[in-house]
Amino acid sequence: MTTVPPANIPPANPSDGARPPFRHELYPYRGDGQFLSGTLGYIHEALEGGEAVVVAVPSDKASLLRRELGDESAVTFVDTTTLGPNPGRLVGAWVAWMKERGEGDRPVRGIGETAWREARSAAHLSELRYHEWLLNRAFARSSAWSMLCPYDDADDDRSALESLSRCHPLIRQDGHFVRNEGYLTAEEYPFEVLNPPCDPFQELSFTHGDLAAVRAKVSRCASDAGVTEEQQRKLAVAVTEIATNSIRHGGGRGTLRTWTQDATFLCEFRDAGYIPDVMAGRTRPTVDQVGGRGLWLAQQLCDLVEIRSTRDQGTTIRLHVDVPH
Amino acid sequence: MRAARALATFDDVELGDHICWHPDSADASPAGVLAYVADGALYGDKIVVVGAAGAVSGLPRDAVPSASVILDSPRTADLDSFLAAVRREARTAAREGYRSVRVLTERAPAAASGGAEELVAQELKLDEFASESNAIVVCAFRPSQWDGPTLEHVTGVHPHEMGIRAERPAFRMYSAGADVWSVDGVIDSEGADAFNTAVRAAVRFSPKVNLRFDTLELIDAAGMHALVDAARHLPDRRIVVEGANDTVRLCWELAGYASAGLPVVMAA
Repeated sequence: MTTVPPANIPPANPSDGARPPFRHELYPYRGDGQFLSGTLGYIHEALEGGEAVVVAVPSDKASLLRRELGDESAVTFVDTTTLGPNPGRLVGAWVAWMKERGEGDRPVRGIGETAWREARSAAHLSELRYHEWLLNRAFARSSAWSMLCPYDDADDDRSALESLSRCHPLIRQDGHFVRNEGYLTAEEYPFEVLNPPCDPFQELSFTHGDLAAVRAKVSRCASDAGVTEEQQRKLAVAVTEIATNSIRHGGGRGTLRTWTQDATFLCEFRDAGYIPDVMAGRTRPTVDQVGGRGLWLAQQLCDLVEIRSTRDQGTTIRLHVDVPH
Repeated sequence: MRAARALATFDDVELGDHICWHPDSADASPAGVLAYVADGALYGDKIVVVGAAGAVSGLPRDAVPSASVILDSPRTADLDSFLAAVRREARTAAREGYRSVRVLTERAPAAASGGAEELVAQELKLDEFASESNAIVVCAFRPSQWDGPTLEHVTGVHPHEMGIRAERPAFRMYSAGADVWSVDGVIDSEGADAFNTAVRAAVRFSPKVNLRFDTLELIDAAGMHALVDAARHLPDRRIVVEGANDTVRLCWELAGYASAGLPVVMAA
Protein backbone atom coordinates (compact mmCIF):
# COMPACT_ATOMS: atom_id res chain seq x y z
CA MET A 1 0.00 0.00 0.00
CA THR A 2 1.13 3.52 -0.67
CA THR A 3 0.29 6.28 1.72
CA VAL A 4 -1.19 9.29 0.02
CA PRO A 5 0.01 12.45 1.77
CA PRO A 6 -2.88 14.67 2.74
CA ALA A 7 -1.43 17.46 0.61
CA ASN A 8 -1.95 15.33 -2.49
CA ILE A 9 -5.52 14.51 -1.67
CA PRO A 10 -8.04 16.74 -3.38
CA PRO A 11 -10.14 18.58 -0.85
CA ALA A 12 -13.58 17.21 -0.18
CA ASN A 13 -15.26 20.38 -1.30
CA PRO A 14 -12.72 22.43 -3.24
CA SER A 15 -13.26 26.11 -3.80
CA ASP A 16 -12.46 25.96 -7.52
CA GLY A 17 -15.52 23.86 -8.17
CA ALA A 18 -13.60 20.75 -9.21
CA ARG A 19 -14.55 17.71 -7.21
CA PRO A 20 -12.51 14.68 -6.31
CA PRO A 21 -13.34 11.38 -7.97
CA PHE A 22 -15.37 8.78 -6.10
CA ARG A 23 -13.43 7.64 -3.06
CA HIS A 24 -14.06 4.08 -1.97
CA GLU A 25 -12.19 3.28 1.22
CA LEU A 26 -11.90 0.07 3.17
CA TYR A 27 -11.54 0.61 6.90
CA PRO A 28 -10.33 -2.47 8.77
CA TYR A 29 -10.87 -2.07 12.51
CA ARG A 30 -10.89 -4.08 15.71
CA GLY A 31 -13.36 -3.35 18.45
CA ASP A 32 -15.95 -0.68 19.01
CA GLY A 33 -13.37 1.96 19.86
CA GLN A 34 -11.64 1.73 16.51
CA PHE A 35 -14.98 1.50 14.71
CA LEU A 36 -16.13 4.74 16.29
CA SER A 37 -12.90 6.63 15.85
CA GLY A 38 -12.69 5.77 12.15
CA THR A 39 -16.30 6.31 11.24
CA LEU A 40 -16.79 9.43 13.38
CA GLY A 41 -13.67 10.96 11.88
CA TYR A 42 -15.05 10.29 8.41
CA ILE A 43 -18.44 11.72 9.37
CA HIS A 44 -16.98 14.86 10.93
CA GLU A 45 -14.93 15.47 7.79
CA ALA A 46 -18.17 15.31 5.85
CA LEU A 47 -20.08 17.60 8.17
CA GLU A 48 -17.30 20.19 8.13
CA GLY A 49 -17.51 20.18 4.33
CA GLY A 50 -21.29 20.58 4.34
CA GLU A 51 -21.80 17.05 3.05
CA ALA A 52 -24.59 14.64 3.91
CA VAL A 53 -23.86 11.16 5.24
CA VAL A 54 -25.77 7.92 4.71
CA VAL A 55 -24.95 5.16 7.18
CA ALA A 56 -25.76 1.49 6.49
CA VAL A 57 -24.13 -0.61 9.19
CA PRO A 58 -25.32 -3.51 11.39
CA SER A 59 -27.80 -2.43 14.03
CA ASP A 60 -25.36 -2.69 16.96
CA LYS A 61 -22.91 -0.43 15.18
CA ALA A 62 -25.67 1.96 14.23
CA SER A 63 -26.61 2.25 17.90
CA LEU A 64 -23.03 3.19 18.78
CA LEU A 65 -22.98 5.93 16.17
CA ARG A 66 -26.41 7.24 17.07
CA ARG A 67 -25.32 7.67 20.67
CA GLU A 68 -22.36 9.74 19.54
CA LEU A 69 -24.11 11.79 16.89
CA GLY A 70 -27.35 12.59 18.68
CA ASP A 71 -29.89 14.05 16.28
CA GLU A 72 -27.47 15.23 13.62
CA SER A 73 -29.77 15.92 10.71
CA ALA A 74 -27.09 15.57 8.05
CA VAL A 75 -26.63 11.91 8.93
CA THR A 76 -29.21 9.38 7.77
CA PHE A 77 -29.28 5.78 8.94
CA VAL A 78 -30.62 3.16 6.53
CA ASP A 79 -31.26 -0.54 7.05
CA THR A 80 -29.87 -2.83 4.37
CA THR A 81 -31.67 -5.84 5.82
CA THR A 82 -34.90 -4.51 4.29
CA LEU A 83 -33.39 -5.14 0.87
CA GLY A 84 -33.25 -8.87 1.43
CA PRO A 85 -30.23 -11.11 1.16
CA ASN A 86 -29.19 -10.46 -2.45
CA PRO A 87 -26.08 -8.24 -2.73
CA GLY A 88 -27.16 -7.56 -6.31
CA ARG A 89 -29.71 -5.10 -4.93
CA LEU A 90 -27.22 -2.99 -3.01
CA VAL A 91 -25.88 -0.80 -5.82
CA GLY A 92 -29.40 0.27 -6.78
CA ALA A 93 -30.21 0.98 -3.14
CA TRP A 94 -27.06 3.06 -2.63
CA VAL A 95 -27.75 5.04 -5.78
CA ALA A 96 -31.22 5.83 -4.47
CA TRP A 97 -30.03 6.73 -0.97
CA MET A 98 -27.22 8.93 -2.26
CA LYS A 99 -29.50 10.70 -4.73
CA GLU A 100 -32.11 11.27 -2.08
CA ARG A 101 -29.64 12.84 0.33
CA GLY A 102 -27.71 14.66 -2.38
CA GLU A 103 -30.55 16.81 -3.59
CA GLY A 104 -29.32 20.14 -4.88
CA ASP A 105 -25.96 18.69 -5.86
CA ARG A 106 -24.94 18.30 -2.24
CA PRO A 107 -21.98 15.93 -1.82
CA VAL A 108 -22.84 12.73 -0.01
CA ARG A 109 -20.69 10.21 1.82
CA GLY A 110 -21.76 6.68 2.52
CA ILE A 111 -20.67 4.34 5.27
CA GLY A 112 -21.48 0.74 4.47
CA GLU A 113 -20.51 -2.21 6.60
CA THR A 114 -21.48 -5.68 5.49
CA ALA A 115 -22.20 -8.33 8.09
CA TRP A 116 -19.65 -10.65 6.53
CA ARG A 117 -20.04 -13.33 9.17
CA GLU A 118 -23.69 -13.67 8.19
CA ALA A 119 -22.86 -14.67 4.63
CA ARG A 120 -24.88 -17.80 3.95
CA SER A 121 -22.69 -19.53 1.42
CA ALA A 122 -19.48 -19.25 -0.55
CA ALA A 123 -21.53 -17.93 -3.47
CA HIS A 124 -23.10 -15.28 -1.26
CA LEU A 125 -19.69 -14.24 0.07
CA SER A 126 -18.33 -14.06 -3.45
CA GLU A 127 -21.20 -11.85 -4.60
CA LEU A 128 -20.77 -9.57 -1.59
CA ARG A 129 -17.15 -9.00 -2.57
CA TYR A 130 -18.12 -8.49 -6.19
CA HIS A 131 -20.61 -5.85 -5.07
CA GLU A 132 -17.77 -3.97 -3.37
CA TRP A 133 -15.77 -4.06 -6.60
CA LEU A 134 -18.80 -2.95 -8.63
CA LEU A 135 -19.28 0.11 -6.41
CA ASN A 136 -16.16 1.57 -8.03
CA ARG A 137 -17.85 1.21 -11.42
CA ALA A 138 -21.25 2.32 -10.23
CA PHE A 139 -20.01 5.59 -8.80
CA ALA A 140 -16.98 6.13 -11.04
CA ARG A 141 -18.56 9.17 -12.61
CA SER A 142 -20.17 10.39 -9.43
CA SER A 143 -17.66 12.81 -8.04
CA ALA A 144 -20.11 14.00 -5.43
CA TRP A 145 -20.13 10.69 -3.65
CA SER A 146 -17.66 8.69 -1.59
CA MET A 147 -17.91 5.59 0.52
CA LEU A 148 -16.25 4.16 3.61
CA CYS A 149 -16.52 0.42 4.21
CA PRO A 150 -15.72 -0.51 7.81
CA TYR A 151 -14.55 -4.12 8.14
CA ASP A 152 -14.43 -5.89 11.49
CA ASP A 153 -11.04 -7.57 11.48
CA ALA A 154 -11.43 -9.21 14.88
CA ASP A 155 -11.08 -12.68 13.40
CA ASP A 156 -7.63 -11.79 12.06
CA ASP A 157 -8.53 -13.64 8.85
CA ARG A 158 -5.79 -12.38 6.52
CA SER A 159 -7.19 -14.16 3.52
CA ALA A 160 -10.67 -12.67 3.92
CA LEU A 161 -9.26 -9.19 4.46
CA GLU A 162 -6.98 -9.52 1.45
CA SER A 163 -9.85 -10.65 -0.80
CA LEU A 164 -11.96 -7.72 0.29
CA SER A 165 -9.22 -5.14 0.16
CA ARG A 166 -8.63 -5.95 -3.52
CA CYS A 167 -12.07 -4.46 -4.20
CA HIS A 168 -11.20 -1.10 -2.61
CA PRO A 169 -8.85 1.41 -4.24
CA LEU A 170 -8.21 3.12 -0.91
CA ILE A 171 -7.59 1.97 2.66
CA ARG A 172 -8.27 4.15 5.67
CA GLN A 173 -5.62 4.13 8.37
CA ASP A 174 -5.18 6.49 11.32
CA GLY A 175 -7.62 9.02 9.96
CA HIS A 176 -6.11 9.16 6.48
CA PHE A 177 -6.66 7.09 3.37
CA VAL A 178 -3.86 5.41 1.55
CA ARG A 179 -3.78 4.08 -1.96
CA ASN A 180 -4.21 0.32 -2.10
CA GLU A 181 -1.61 -1.19 -4.40
CA GLY A 182 -3.41 -4.51 -4.30
CA TYR A 183 -6.60 -3.03 -5.77
CA LEU A 184 -7.93 -4.90 -8.79
CA THR A 185 -7.56 -2.45 -11.62
CA ALA A 186 -8.27 -4.98 -14.39
CA GLU A 187 -11.34 -4.44 -16.52
CA GLU A 188 -12.65 -7.89 -15.72
CA TYR A 189 -13.33 -9.13 -12.21
CA PRO A 190 -11.57 -12.41 -11.38
CA PHE A 191 -14.58 -14.44 -10.32
CA GLU A 192 -14.25 -17.68 -8.45
CA VAL A 193 -15.05 -20.65 -10.70
CA LEU A 194 -18.63 -21.82 -10.34
CA ASN A 195 -19.00 -25.21 -8.75
CA PRO A 196 -20.61 -27.82 -11.00
CA PRO A 197 -24.31 -28.51 -10.45
CA CYS A 198 -25.14 -30.97 -7.72
CA ASP A 199 -26.37 -34.38 -8.78
CA PRO A 200 -29.11 -35.06 -9.54
CA PHE A 201 -29.91 -32.05 -11.70
CA GLN A 202 -32.64 -31.52 -14.27
CA GLU A 203 -31.83 -30.16 -17.70
CA LEU A 204 -33.87 -28.60 -20.49
CA SER A 205 -32.74 -27.10 -23.77
CA PHE A 206 -34.98 -24.28 -24.90
CA THR A 207 -35.44 -21.97 -27.83
CA HIS A 208 -38.02 -19.61 -29.29
CA GLY A 209 -41.51 -20.62 -28.21
CA ASP A 210 -40.40 -22.55 -25.13
CA LEU A 211 -40.94 -20.02 -22.36
CA ALA A 212 -43.98 -21.86 -21.03
CA ALA A 213 -41.97 -25.11 -20.99
CA VAL A 214 -39.16 -23.39 -19.08
CA ARG A 215 -41.61 -22.09 -16.48
CA ALA A 216 -43.31 -25.46 -16.18
CA LYS A 217 -40.00 -27.24 -15.65
CA VAL A 218 -38.85 -24.76 -13.04
CA SER A 219 -42.21 -24.85 -11.29
CA ARG A 220 -42.15 -28.64 -10.98
CA CYS A 221 -38.58 -28.76 -9.71
CA ALA A 222 -39.03 -25.82 -7.34
CA SER A 223 -42.17 -27.35 -5.90
CA ASP A 224 -40.36 -30.66 -5.35
CA ALA A 225 -37.56 -28.74 -3.62
CA GLY A 226 -39.95 -27.10 -1.16
CA VAL A 227 -39.91 -23.58 -2.61
CA THR A 228 -43.01 -21.72 -1.41
CA GLU A 229 -45.73 -20.66 -3.84
CA GLU A 230 -44.92 -16.99 -3.34
CA GLN A 231 -41.27 -17.66 -4.13
CA GLN A 232 -42.31 -19.71 -7.15
CA ARG A 233 -44.35 -16.82 -8.55
CA LYS A 234 -41.35 -14.51 -8.28
CA LEU A 235 -39.03 -17.14 -9.68
CA ALA A 236 -41.37 -17.63 -12.66
CA VAL A 237 -40.87 -13.99 -13.61
CA ALA A 238 -37.10 -14.21 -13.13
CA VAL A 239 -36.68 -17.36 -15.24
CA THR A 240 -38.91 -15.87 -17.94
CA GLU A 241 -36.63 -12.84 -18.10
CA ILE A 242 -33.41 -14.82 -18.19
CA ALA A 243 -34.68 -17.35 -20.73
CA THR A 244 -35.97 -14.47 -22.87
CA ASN A 245 -32.50 -12.92 -22.79
CA SER A 246 -31.00 -16.24 -23.93
CA ILE A 247 -33.45 -16.46 -26.83
CA ARG A 248 -33.13 -12.82 -27.86
CA HIS A 249 -29.48 -12.11 -27.17
CA GLY A 250 -27.82 -15.44 -26.50
CA GLY A 251 -27.92 -17.08 -29.88
CA GLY A 252 -31.60 -17.96 -29.92
CA ARG A 253 -31.34 -20.83 -27.48
CA GLY A 254 -30.14 -21.79 -24.06
CA THR A 255 -29.88 -24.59 -21.54
CA LEU A 256 -31.64 -24.66 -18.20
CA ARG A 257 -30.44 -26.72 -15.30
CA THR A 258 -32.06 -26.90 -11.89
CA TRP A 259 -30.87 -28.51 -8.71
CA THR A 260 -30.97 -28.18 -4.96
CA GLN A 261 -27.87 -27.54 -2.90
CA ASP A 262 -28.09 -27.43 0.87
CA ALA A 263 -31.05 -25.13 1.51
CA THR A 264 -30.97 -23.43 -1.88
CA PHE A 265 -32.86 -24.13 -5.10
CA LEU A 266 -30.87 -23.10 -8.15
CA CYS A 267 -31.75 -22.44 -11.79
CA GLU A 268 -28.82 -22.12 -14.14
CA PHE A 269 -29.12 -20.68 -17.65
CA ARG A 270 -26.33 -21.04 -20.19
CA ASP A 271 -26.25 -19.45 -23.61
CA ALA A 272 -23.81 -18.17 -26.21
CA GLY A 273 -24.42 -14.49 -25.55
CA TYR A 274 -22.18 -11.95 -23.89
CA ILE A 275 -23.19 -9.25 -21.42
CA PRO A 276 -20.56 -6.52 -21.77
CA ASP A 277 -22.04 -4.18 -19.16
CA VAL A 278 -21.11 -5.33 -15.66
CA MET A 279 -23.71 -2.92 -14.28
CA ALA A 280 -26.55 -4.59 -16.20
CA GLY A 281 -29.42 -5.19 -13.81
CA ARG A 282 -27.81 -3.33 -10.93
CA THR A 283 -29.54 0.03 -11.24
CA ARG A 284 -33.24 0.81 -11.17
CA PRO A 285 -34.67 1.31 -14.67
CA THR A 286 -36.18 4.63 -15.56
CA VAL A 287 -39.79 4.80 -16.66
CA ASP A 288 -38.90 5.62 -20.26
CA GLN A 289 -36.21 2.98 -20.59
CA VAL A 290 -37.20 0.60 -23.38
CA GLY A 291 -35.31 -2.53 -22.32
CA GLY A 292 -32.86 -3.61 -19.65
CA ARG A 293 -35.39 -4.58 -17.02
CA GLY A 294 -34.93 -8.35 -17.12
CA LEU A 295 -31.77 -8.69 -15.07
CA TRP A 296 -32.96 -5.98 -12.70
CA LEU A 297 -36.16 -7.93 -12.02
CA ALA A 298 -34.17 -11.14 -11.54
CA GLN A 299 -31.93 -9.43 -8.98
CA GLN A 300 -34.94 -8.06 -7.12
CA LEU A 301 -36.92 -11.30 -7.15
CA CYS A 302 -34.23 -13.88 -6.32
CA ASP A 303 -32.18 -14.36 -3.18
CA LEU A 304 -28.90 -14.41 -5.10
CA VAL A 305 -27.93 -14.02 -8.75
CA GLU A 306 -24.56 -15.07 -10.13
CA ILE A 307 -23.63 -13.80 -13.60
CA ARG A 308 -20.59 -15.01 -15.48
CA SER A 309 -20.20 -13.72 -19.01
CA THR A 310 -17.25 -13.72 -21.38
CA ARG A 311 -16.97 -13.32 -25.12
CA ASP A 312 -15.34 -16.72 -25.39
CA GLN A 313 -17.52 -18.83 -23.15
CA GLY A 314 -20.87 -17.09 -23.32
CA THR A 315 -23.09 -16.39 -20.36
CA THR A 316 -24.03 -18.42 -17.31
CA ILE A 317 -26.59 -17.05 -14.90
CA ARG A 318 -27.57 -18.78 -11.69
CA LEU A 319 -30.71 -17.80 -9.83
CA HIS A 320 -30.77 -18.83 -6.17
CA VAL A 321 -33.89 -19.20 -4.06
CA ASP A 322 -33.61 -19.94 -0.36
CA VAL A 323 -35.71 -22.95 0.59
CA PRO A 324 -37.51 -22.51 3.91
CA HIS A 325 -36.50 -24.98 6.60
CA MET B 1 -68.62 -14.21 -14.65
CA ARG B 2 -66.94 -15.15 -17.93
CA ALA B 3 -63.78 -17.19 -17.84
CA ALA B 4 -61.35 -18.33 -20.49
CA ARG B 5 -61.65 -22.01 -21.35
CA ALA B 6 -61.10 -24.57 -24.07
CA LEU B 7 -64.03 -26.58 -25.44
CA ALA B 8 -63.65 -30.23 -26.31
CA THR B 9 -66.65 -30.14 -28.66
CA PHE B 10 -69.40 -27.75 -29.73
CA ASP B 11 -71.61 -29.51 -27.19
CA ASP B 12 -69.76 -27.51 -24.55
CA VAL B 13 -70.73 -24.06 -25.79
CA GLU B 14 -72.44 -21.77 -23.32
CA LEU B 15 -74.29 -18.51 -23.64
CA GLY B 16 -71.87 -15.60 -23.92
CA ASP B 17 -69.10 -17.69 -25.45
CA HIS B 18 -66.87 -16.18 -28.12
CA ILE B 19 -65.09 -19.11 -29.64
CA CYS B 20 -62.04 -19.28 -31.85
CA TRP B 21 -62.26 -22.30 -34.13
CA HIS B 22 -59.71 -23.65 -36.57
CA PRO B 23 -61.84 -25.74 -38.99
CA ASP B 24 -58.92 -27.39 -40.75
CA SER B 25 -56.88 -28.13 -37.65
CA ALA B 26 -56.20 -31.71 -36.66
CA ASP B 27 -58.78 -31.74 -33.88
CA ALA B 28 -61.60 -30.17 -35.92
CA SER B 29 -64.52 -32.38 -36.75
CA PRO B 30 -66.55 -31.61 -39.92
CA ALA B 31 -69.62 -32.77 -38.06
CA GLY B 32 -68.94 -30.33 -35.27
CA VAL B 33 -70.35 -27.30 -36.95
CA LEU B 34 -73.46 -29.25 -37.95
CA ALA B 35 -73.99 -30.14 -34.32
CA TYR B 36 -73.52 -26.51 -33.34
CA VAL B 37 -76.25 -25.46 -35.76
CA ALA B 38 -78.52 -28.37 -34.87
CA ASP B 39 -78.18 -27.62 -31.16
CA GLY B 40 -79.41 -24.12 -31.86
CA ALA B 41 -82.82 -25.53 -32.63
CA LEU B 42 -82.64 -27.78 -29.59
CA TYR B 43 -81.91 -24.92 -27.21
CA GLY B 44 -84.09 -22.33 -28.93
CA ASP B 45 -81.29 -20.24 -30.36
CA LYS B 46 -81.61 -18.46 -33.67
CA ILE B 47 -78.81 -19.26 -36.11
CA VAL B 48 -77.07 -16.33 -37.74
CA VAL B 49 -74.56 -17.25 -40.41
CA VAL B 50 -72.32 -14.48 -41.64
CA GLY B 51 -71.25 -15.13 -45.21
CA ALA B 52 -72.75 -17.52 -47.72
CA ALA B 53 -73.55 -20.70 -45.86
CA GLY B 54 -71.59 -22.83 -48.25
CA ALA B 55 -68.53 -20.69 -47.68
CA VAL B 56 -68.71 -20.88 -43.91
CA SER B 57 -66.73 -23.84 -42.72
CA GLY B 58 -68.28 -26.16 -45.29
CA LEU B 59 -71.72 -25.79 -43.77
CA PRO B 60 -74.23 -27.07 -46.39
CA ARG B 61 -77.10 -24.69 -47.00
CA ASP B 62 -79.63 -27.46 -46.41
CA ALA B 63 -78.14 -27.95 -42.96
CA VAL B 64 -79.17 -24.48 -41.96
CA PRO B 65 -82.61 -24.38 -40.31
CA SER B 66 -85.18 -22.48 -42.29
CA ALA B 67 -85.59 -19.93 -39.51
CA SER B 68 -81.94 -19.05 -39.72
CA VAL B 69 -80.56 -15.79 -41.03
CA ILE B 70 -77.74 -15.71 -43.53
CA LEU B 71 -75.95 -12.40 -43.69
CA ASP B 72 -73.98 -12.57 -46.91
CA SER B 73 -74.21 -9.00 -48.13
CA PRO B 74 -70.87 -7.54 -49.20
CA ARG B 75 -71.52 -4.80 -46.67
CA THR B 76 -71.10 -7.25 -43.82
CA ALA B 77 -67.39 -7.29 -44.56
CA ASP B 78 -67.37 -3.89 -42.89
CA LEU B 79 -67.22 -4.31 -39.11
CA ASP B 80 -69.75 -1.67 -38.21
CA SER B 81 -72.28 -3.02 -40.73
CA PHE B 82 -71.57 -6.57 -39.61
CA LEU B 83 -72.02 -5.74 -35.93
CA ALA B 84 -75.11 -3.66 -36.59
CA ALA B 85 -76.64 -6.54 -38.53
CA VAL B 86 -75.82 -9.10 -35.86
CA ARG B 87 -77.11 -6.88 -33.07
CA ARG B 88 -80.31 -6.30 -35.06
CA GLU B 89 -80.77 -10.05 -35.45
CA ALA B 90 -80.18 -10.54 -31.74
CA ARG B 91 -82.88 -8.00 -30.91
CA THR B 92 -85.24 -9.59 -33.42
CA ALA B 93 -84.54 -13.03 -32.03
CA ALA B 94 -85.36 -11.80 -28.53
CA ARG B 95 -88.65 -10.38 -29.74
CA GLU B 96 -89.43 -13.64 -31.51
CA GLY B 97 -88.92 -15.57 -28.30
CA TYR B 98 -85.58 -17.18 -28.99
CA ARG B 99 -83.27 -17.82 -26.08
CA SER B 100 -80.37 -16.17 -27.90
CA VAL B 101 -78.50 -16.14 -31.20
CA ARG B 102 -75.79 -18.49 -32.38
CA VAL B 103 -73.47 -16.66 -34.73
CA LEU B 104 -71.21 -18.54 -37.08
CA THR B 105 -68.74 -16.54 -39.10
CA GLU B 106 -65.68 -17.45 -41.05
CA ARG B 107 -63.00 -14.76 -41.10
CA ALA B 108 -61.08 -14.50 -44.33
CA PRO B 109 -57.84 -12.57 -44.88
CA ALA B 110 -59.30 -10.80 -47.91
CA ALA B 111 -61.99 -9.26 -45.73
CA ALA B 112 -59.51 -8.27 -43.06
CA SER B 113 -57.50 -5.77 -45.01
CA GLY B 114 -56.91 -3.44 -42.08
CA GLY B 115 -54.10 -5.46 -40.58
CA ALA B 116 -53.87 -7.34 -37.30
CA GLU B 117 -54.91 -4.41 -35.12
CA GLU B 118 -58.07 -3.82 -37.12
CA LEU B 119 -58.90 -7.52 -37.00
CA VAL B 120 -58.29 -7.63 -33.26
CA ALA B 121 -60.47 -4.55 -32.80
CA GLN B 122 -63.28 -6.32 -34.65
CA GLU B 123 -62.90 -9.39 -32.47
CA LEU B 124 -62.98 -7.31 -29.29
CA LYS B 125 -66.24 -5.74 -30.49
CA LEU B 126 -67.64 -9.19 -31.25
CA ASP B 127 -66.56 -10.34 -27.82
CA GLU B 128 -68.27 -7.38 -26.21
CA PHE B 129 -71.42 -8.26 -28.18
CA ALA B 130 -71.30 -11.88 -27.01
CA SER B 131 -70.74 -10.81 -23.42
CA GLU B 132 -73.48 -8.17 -23.37
CA SER B 133 -76.15 -10.07 -25.28
CA ASN B 134 -75.41 -13.61 -24.11
CA ALA B 135 -74.99 -14.59 -27.73
CA ILE B 136 -72.75 -17.44 -28.81
CA VAL B 137 -70.26 -16.41 -31.46
CA VAL B 138 -68.06 -18.88 -33.30
CA CYS B 139 -65.29 -17.37 -35.42
CA ALA B 140 -63.68 -19.77 -37.85
CA PHE B 141 -60.07 -19.07 -38.83
CA ARG B 142 -58.49 -21.54 -41.22
CA PRO B 143 -54.81 -21.79 -40.24
CA SER B 144 -53.97 -22.49 -43.84
CA GLN B 145 -55.20 -19.02 -44.80
CA TRP B 146 -53.58 -16.96 -42.07
CA ASP B 147 -50.02 -16.25 -41.04
CA GLY B 148 -48.96 -17.48 -37.63
CA PRO B 149 -48.53 -14.09 -35.90
CA THR B 150 -51.98 -12.88 -37.02
CA LEU B 151 -53.56 -16.10 -35.78
CA GLU B 152 -51.84 -15.59 -32.42
CA HIS B 153 -53.13 -12.02 -32.24
CA VAL B 154 -56.75 -13.05 -32.85
CA THR B 155 -56.53 -16.12 -30.62
CA GLY B 156 -55.53 -13.81 -27.76
CA VAL B 157 -58.83 -11.93 -27.97
CA HIS B 158 -61.08 -15.00 -27.94
CA PRO B 159 -61.79 -16.20 -24.41
CA HIS B 160 -62.87 -19.56 -25.73
CA GLU B 161 -61.49 -21.96 -28.28
CA MET B 162 -62.24 -25.34 -29.74
CA GLY B 163 -59.79 -28.06 -28.87
CA ILE B 164 -56.70 -27.66 -26.72
CA ARG B 165 -55.92 -24.13 -25.60
CA ALA B 166 -53.21 -22.76 -27.86
CA GLU B 167 -49.99 -22.13 -25.95
CA ARG B 168 -49.33 -18.92 -27.83
CA PRO B 169 -50.21 -16.37 -26.94
CA ALA B 170 -50.30 -17.40 -23.31
CA PHE B 171 -52.90 -14.73 -22.44
CA ARG B 172 -56.55 -14.23 -23.32
CA MET B 173 -58.17 -10.79 -23.20
CA TYR B 174 -61.94 -10.56 -23.21
CA SER B 175 -64.85 -8.34 -22.27
CA ALA B 176 -65.92 -8.10 -18.65
CA GLY B 177 -68.29 -5.15 -19.05
CA ALA B 178 -68.37 -1.78 -20.73
CA ASP B 179 -64.74 -0.76 -21.35
CA VAL B 180 -63.60 -3.44 -18.93
CA TRP B 181 -61.36 -6.24 -20.22
CA SER B 182 -60.21 -9.28 -18.29
CA VAL B 183 -56.75 -10.64 -19.00
CA ASP B 184 -56.14 -14.29 -18.22
CA GLY B 185 -52.95 -16.35 -18.25
CA VAL B 186 -49.41 -15.12 -18.83
CA ILE B 187 -48.08 -12.13 -20.73
CA ASP B 188 -44.46 -12.82 -21.56
CA SER B 189 -42.10 -11.70 -24.31
CA GLU B 190 -43.63 -14.24 -26.70
CA GLY B 191 -47.11 -12.75 -26.29
CA ALA B 192 -46.16 -9.12 -25.71
CA ASP B 193 -46.77 -8.04 -29.32
CA ALA B 194 -50.20 -9.65 -29.36
CA PHE B 195 -51.03 -8.04 -26.01
CA ASN B 196 -49.84 -4.66 -27.27
CA THR B 197 -52.13 -5.02 -30.29
CA ALA B 198 -55.08 -6.04 -28.13
CA VAL B 199 -54.68 -3.09 -25.77
CA ARG B 200 -54.14 -0.66 -28.65
CA ALA B 201 -57.39 -1.92 -30.13
CA ALA B 202 -59.21 -1.59 -26.81
CA VAL B 203 -58.14 2.01 -26.23
CA ARG B 204 -59.43 2.92 -29.69
CA PHE B 205 -62.96 2.55 -28.41
CA SER B 206 -62.65 4.51 -25.20
CA PRO B 207 -60.23 6.98 -23.62
CA LYS B 208 -60.51 5.17 -20.30
CA VAL B 209 -60.19 1.41 -20.12
CA ASN B 210 -60.11 -0.92 -17.15
CA LEU B 211 -58.05 -4.10 -17.30
CA ARG B 212 -58.91 -6.85 -14.82
CA PHE B 213 -55.81 -8.88 -13.95
CA ASP B 214 -57.57 -11.17 -11.44
CA THR B 215 -56.63 -14.30 -13.40
CA LEU B 216 -53.35 -13.05 -14.82
CA GLU B 217 -50.60 -15.23 -13.42
CA LEU B 218 -47.56 -13.35 -14.63
CA ILE B 219 -46.47 -10.36 -16.68
CA ASP B 220 -42.83 -9.91 -17.60
CA ALA B 221 -40.86 -6.82 -18.56
CA ALA B 222 -41.80 -7.10 -22.22
CA GLY B 223 -45.47 -7.41 -21.29
CA MET B 224 -45.36 -4.38 -19.03
CA HIS B 225 -43.64 -2.36 -21.72
CA ALA B 226 -46.26 -3.50 -24.23
CA LEU B 227 -49.01 -2.23 -21.93
CA VAL B 228 -47.42 1.18 -21.40
CA ASP B 229 -46.62 1.51 -25.09
CA ALA B 230 -50.21 0.75 -26.06
CA ALA B 231 -51.56 3.32 -23.60
CA ARG B 232 -49.22 5.94 -25.02
CA HIS B 233 -50.13 5.05 -28.60
CA LEU B 234 -53.08 7.43 -28.62
CA PRO B 235 -53.27 10.75 -26.78
CA ASP B 236 -55.23 11.22 -23.57
CA ARG B 237 -55.68 7.53 -22.89
CA ARG B 238 -55.86 6.12 -19.40
CA ILE B 239 -55.73 2.48 -18.38
CA VAL B 240 -56.51 1.36 -14.85
CA VAL B 241 -55.34 -2.12 -13.94
CA GLU B 242 -57.25 -3.80 -11.13
CA GLY B 243 -57.15 -7.14 -9.37
CA ALA B 244 -53.48 -7.87 -10.03
CA ASN B 245 -51.78 -10.35 -7.74
CA ASP B 246 -48.99 -9.31 -5.38
CA THR B 247 -46.20 -10.46 -7.70
CA VAL B 248 -47.59 -8.57 -10.69
CA ARG B 249 -47.93 -5.41 -8.60
CA LEU B 250 -44.41 -5.88 -7.22
CA CYS B 251 -42.96 -6.30 -10.70
CA TRP B 252 -44.81 -3.20 -11.90
CA GLU B 253 -43.24 -1.18 -9.12
CA LEU B 254 -39.80 -2.72 -9.57
CA ALA B 255 -39.89 -2.05 -13.31
CA GLY B 256 -40.29 1.66 -12.59
CA TYR B 257 -43.85 2.03 -13.84
CA ALA B 258 -45.44 3.01 -10.55
CA SER B 259 -44.41 6.63 -10.99
CA ALA B 260 -46.92 9.40 -11.47
CA GLY B 261 -47.59 10.68 -14.94
CA LEU B 262 -47.97 7.37 -16.73
CA PRO B 263 -51.25 6.71 -18.53
CA VAL B 264 -51.37 3.27 -16.86
CA VAL B 265 -52.20 2.99 -13.18
CA MET B 266 -51.86 -0.23 -11.21
CA ALA B 267 -54.57 -0.02 -8.57
CA ALA B 268 -53.91 -1.51 -5.14
